[in-house]
Amino acid sequence: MSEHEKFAWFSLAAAALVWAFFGMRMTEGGWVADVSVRHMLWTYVATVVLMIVSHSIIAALLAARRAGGVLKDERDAAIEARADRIEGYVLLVVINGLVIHALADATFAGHALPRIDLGSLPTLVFALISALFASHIVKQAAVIWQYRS
Amino acid sequence: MTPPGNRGSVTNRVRKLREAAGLTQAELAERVGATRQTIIAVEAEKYAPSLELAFRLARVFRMPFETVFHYDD
Repeated sequence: MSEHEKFAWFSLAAAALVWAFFGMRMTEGGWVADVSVRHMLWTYVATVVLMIVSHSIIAALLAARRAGGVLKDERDAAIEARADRIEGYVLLVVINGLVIHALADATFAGHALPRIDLGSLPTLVFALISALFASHIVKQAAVIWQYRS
Repeated sequence: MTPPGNRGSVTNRVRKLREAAGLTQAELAERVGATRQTIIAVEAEKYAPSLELAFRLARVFRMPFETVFHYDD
């Protein structure tokens, strides 16, 4: 398994755990809780710090165990570029989904879409951060899939 | 979604030539500036290398490019 693929596996696991932490802090009974701004700010900072620290630890551990040789070559770069593109598509779809939802909410009072109150700050923060996590996880899954196929 | 690399039309003799030269995959990777995993993927014809890497591989074996790689229509 290449260093790049190992990093993708660990990054995916770390992102899923940190996303779970973020979700636990922001939701209650499966719905976004009406938390205070102070609580949200603390959660946001902790989430960012956890992502940075976890990824730094992963990179350090992989570097320490490295046997030598070329770290990354053209195939790794091609796989990374393709996964980056997929990550961008996911972000594009999710953000546009949220915008369309907000517009539908404002235009059609009785629409059949699930209710997402984007006018509420906790819901907006939860939706945007979750979109970033989802795109990151899809990117790592795309990296792994390309190595495995 | 198709992984980057070979679409099945580029074949090669890298494994045979490497074994004939007495090189390990890691040694060949080191000589051409690639990872061992890329050499494995090239040998399995799951990845078609760039022109630059293909020429570097051919140079290691001291063979013309078209002896190492083939393109089938």
